[in-house]
Amino acid sequence: MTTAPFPTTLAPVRRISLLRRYLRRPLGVVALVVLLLVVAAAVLAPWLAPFDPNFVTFKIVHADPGNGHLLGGDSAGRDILSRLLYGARTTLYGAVITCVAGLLLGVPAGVSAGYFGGATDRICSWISDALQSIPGMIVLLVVAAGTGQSFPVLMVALGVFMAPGYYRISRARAMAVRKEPYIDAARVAGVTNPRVLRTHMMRAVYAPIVVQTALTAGIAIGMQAGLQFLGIGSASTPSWGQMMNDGFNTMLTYPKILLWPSIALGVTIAALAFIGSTLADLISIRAEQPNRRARARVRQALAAPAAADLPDRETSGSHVHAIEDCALRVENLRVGYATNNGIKEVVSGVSLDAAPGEVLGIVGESGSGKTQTSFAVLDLLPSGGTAVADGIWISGREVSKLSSADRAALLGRSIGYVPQEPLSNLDPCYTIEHQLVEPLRHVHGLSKADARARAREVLVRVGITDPERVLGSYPHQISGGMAQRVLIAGAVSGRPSVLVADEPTTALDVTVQAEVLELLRELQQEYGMALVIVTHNFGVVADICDRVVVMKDGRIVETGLVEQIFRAPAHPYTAELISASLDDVAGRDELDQGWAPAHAVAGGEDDAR
Amino acid sequence: MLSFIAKRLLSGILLLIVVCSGTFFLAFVAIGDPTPGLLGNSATAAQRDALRAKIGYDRPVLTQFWDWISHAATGDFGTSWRSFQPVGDQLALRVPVTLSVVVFATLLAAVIGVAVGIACGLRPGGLLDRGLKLASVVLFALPGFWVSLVLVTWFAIELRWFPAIGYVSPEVSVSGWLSSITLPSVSLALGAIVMVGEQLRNGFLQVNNQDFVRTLRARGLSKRRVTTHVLRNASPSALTVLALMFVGLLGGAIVVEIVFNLPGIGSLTQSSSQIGDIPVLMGLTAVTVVFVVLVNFLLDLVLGWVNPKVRER
Amino acid sequence: MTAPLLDVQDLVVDYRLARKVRFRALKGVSISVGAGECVGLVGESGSGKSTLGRALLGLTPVESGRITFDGEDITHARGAARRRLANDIQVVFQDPYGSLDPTMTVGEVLAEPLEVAGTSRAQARAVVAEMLDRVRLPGDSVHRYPSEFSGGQRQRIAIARALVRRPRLIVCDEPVSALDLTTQATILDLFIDLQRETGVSYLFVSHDLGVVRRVCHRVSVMYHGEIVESGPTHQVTHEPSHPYTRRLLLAAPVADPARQAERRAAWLGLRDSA
Repeated sequence: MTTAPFPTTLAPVRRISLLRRYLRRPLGVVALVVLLLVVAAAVLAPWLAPFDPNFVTFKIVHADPGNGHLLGGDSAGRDILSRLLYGARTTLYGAVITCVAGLLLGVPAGVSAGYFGGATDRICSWISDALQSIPGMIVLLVVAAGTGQSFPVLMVALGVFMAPGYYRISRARAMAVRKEPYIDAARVAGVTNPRVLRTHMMRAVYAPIVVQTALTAGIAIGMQAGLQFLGIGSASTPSWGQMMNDGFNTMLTYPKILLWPSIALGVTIAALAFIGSTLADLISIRAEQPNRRARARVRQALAAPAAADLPDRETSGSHVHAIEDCALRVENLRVGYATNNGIKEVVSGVSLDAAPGEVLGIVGESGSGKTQTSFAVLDLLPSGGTAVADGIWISGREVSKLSSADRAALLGRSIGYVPQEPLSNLDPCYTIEHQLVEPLRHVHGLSKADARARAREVLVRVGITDPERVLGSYPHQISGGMAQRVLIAGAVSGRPSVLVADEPTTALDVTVQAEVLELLRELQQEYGMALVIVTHNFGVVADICDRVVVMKDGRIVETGLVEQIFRAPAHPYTAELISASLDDVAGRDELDQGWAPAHAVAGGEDDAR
Repeated sequence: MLSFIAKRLLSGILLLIVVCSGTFFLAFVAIGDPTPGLLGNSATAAQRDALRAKIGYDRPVLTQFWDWISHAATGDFGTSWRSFQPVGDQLALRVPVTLSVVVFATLLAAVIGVAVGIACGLRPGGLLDRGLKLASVVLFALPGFWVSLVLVTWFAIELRWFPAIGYVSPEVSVSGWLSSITLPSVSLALGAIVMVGEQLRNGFLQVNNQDFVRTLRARGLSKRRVTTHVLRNASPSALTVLALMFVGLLGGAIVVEIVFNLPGIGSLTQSSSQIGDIPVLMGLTAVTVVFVVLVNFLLDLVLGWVNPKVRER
Repeated sequence: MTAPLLDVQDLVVDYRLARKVRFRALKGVSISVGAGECVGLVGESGSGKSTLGRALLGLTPVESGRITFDGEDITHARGAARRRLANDIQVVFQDPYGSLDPTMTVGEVLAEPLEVAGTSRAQARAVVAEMLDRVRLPGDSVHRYPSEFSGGQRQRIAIARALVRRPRLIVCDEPVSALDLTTQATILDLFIDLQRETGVSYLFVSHDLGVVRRVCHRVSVMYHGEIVESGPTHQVTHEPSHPYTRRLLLAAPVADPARQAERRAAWLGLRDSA
């Protein structure tokens, strides 16, 4: 067997730190600057404030800005600017206490609940749910009344109500990570539970927790101001909420007194919210969607005869049938995606065809573009994907210039699709009956009774012995092999002339694989369909295909009849793929026979233990 | 399905008991001797002793707790320590006001939020979607009372479209009632609308990327029919947020009511917490938690109906 | 013949599906692995082959039966005793994407098992460098993150991690089934080379008889939580005695149209007679 070349060094990679990526977002930068200004104002308040925030000058009661009082005076004759600056101190101090309390309570509980599951999870989750059901404001008012309005205690109590937010996020993350094999691997490597929690789990929750903290700080500041607005908090400590209350009482006569603290509060919360949302974007909590303009750009670039970033412009593959004899014909198909680093072409000018009653295999390894080719034929590319072609003919009709609505009208009638993963391709919320009957009624115009009879009949045809039970089941109640039969039934129930099957057996057990291949072969012959099978398995190709195209890096490297490809592959890559199958390689006993005489004692030379 | 309902109901009742006991003991510990708050600092020791005896505060805490909870179970929340009026009467007067505002706000959030969420989910990256994102960032964090102050200055004082303050009972005038709760509800609902919209939009896109949607399209189903499938799969997360919002809005209403001078539970909570009127506070807690439990129960029923897997748990 | 390195007797493992519903994943399974030997465990999904591996590793509790490693009963080893076993028993999982912590550099990933064993930092660095060399990865990989490697390279890293404590047995749970065919072959050869170099034993769990034939000396076939057939690999893959093994062998298509046509006919005959 050939040995792949092992590089001694790795190609350099460009890593961009989160901070650098953050600083590229203008909105995020503005928000960060605003927050830093608020922090600076809070820290430097004693030096920045022109007056003592509690010093009363009767002259400036309700005063307009001026006379050294930049923002004027409040209803008690105190300098508003100075009170705003000192108020920022209170606000941030409280927000820090709240966030720390929420973090300390929520994150360890959430991570443990997600990691250990079971009783820990049930108890912690129940407490969290209970906390979220409590009208927090009532409890906070009770706490405020009881503790002599101690500000730190009140802020800790507020933090308790923020803890469920942290809890939910860290639990969800921990539960997802818990299932990853690397946690099991760490445990097998002798890593203790506390260490797993401290290292792997904490690293996993870190990013979402940072985002959550920005948002929590915003909410905490708002609730804090709400409490102060209600009159909670010492009168001698200036706070924004208190100032808003003061302004609210004289809102009709002196609206400016209300204006300043409202602006301060609004701007600070908005800054925190934007910081949180920018961070969330960066760690992709909210999926960005390519807009129409980006898609148009990709389309243009793909269609262009020559482009600097897409050098390879020749088509690959060939046609063997006349256009009028084809069930499917594709000419010079290109598929591209818009990425941050320009346009990524995943299929580069592919041509192929298939006649009715013919089975065409599209073979290749991951990343060869075989699946993208099949999706482009169906016009079902994932969002962001764009296809252009010189022509796509389905049952003799040129469809590549049709509108997407007209393309969609071909689906289920002229061209059918059998997916790879059986269970994820059924809607978990509906019964099998609904999912089979719905297209028959609304696409093929059958009556309800006819549609049901037809669905039952097709299920029997695909080898399901108890169709009534399967029709009444939800997808999670049937096995993978059964689900794949249901999907095949759905695909052929509209009698399409072309059936595209994308790795239809890969997710199935070997014995079920053989059954499904046999079923596809029977149906294809019975209905005279052209069957296009996308696969990475040359065994599947040998079993079912008449002709095969071999793809690599978005191009077809070889097209030919199955017998010919296996007997004498023209392209070295095809030969490599065929030889990589383990059917005829030497078994371990044969390998060891060649090796053992030279090395009398197995494992003798490396005795480091 | 029946055992599922029974389980959820039982869990709700347990929650109600735990929260009520928690609040009861927290109030006792936090407030301590309520007589200075009830009588003022000038009261004599004899006056205080007399009040303590009258309200039964001289008994052990556990006795008082049992007394309260056994009566509360029959719907009797005792009498106020301040006015000696039955707590139930006060609640009957105040709760409908708060509930009008909160339910109206939740409805607004549900209807507008769902509409916005679907519109953005169908056209991700479009103008509305980007607008929603911007709005969701800001409105999510801004407190309801802040928004209500802005709304009052704008719509009530500048434009005079709505009354700035006060409450009109629907028995007096339905239109008056509607216009008196519109501004408070809207100021509460704005944040909830964008939360629900954002949640539904994200759920919508997430489901849209799932394999079965491609398969549904491959069967030739129309866009509208596929959207129905997507929506059903995306709805649980949005519904959960909506139920959470309801709890949040109850709390937010307390402050917003004060801005709009509505005679709801807000001012009652404020005043009774300040003087340490524990029976009133407990009545308020019990009633709000009952509503929360009911909403969560409803949510569970709807989720069970939407997603068959939930029912089997 | 001396006592085997690993000996499993009548192992029973249950999974709790719900409060009162249990699923018996292993129904009294016995298997042994000698020093320097590779034993394959073949079966379809739900046959219990992965459960057996997880039970050996202490990742799944055992209902009854006995697991002996090097003469020591490890059936219910937990806590410190289980962690001590990390010196001797290691694992390579299927998923080359999920089996490495994406937030750690390769150096940190490989050093972790050594750190928890109390190895000094300098010594750990030397061992990590040696193991990277063993799995044919360049030494400067230590500063890279797993996401910067291909699937095959990541599986090499996972193998290196299994090797750093110089174990005597590695449980390989479908280690090549997520890889492309051409990558599969080179990783399988790496497993063979490492076994020859270090004398480590493998329990090789796979659904693919071709893979097992390549690397395993002996093989056991599992079906519904039981071992239906065991024997030298050549014998089991060429003259299977159990009808299930025969069906399994014939069901996997071979990359040769003429032979596959014969096999299909044989498979159809087997199916219709059943």
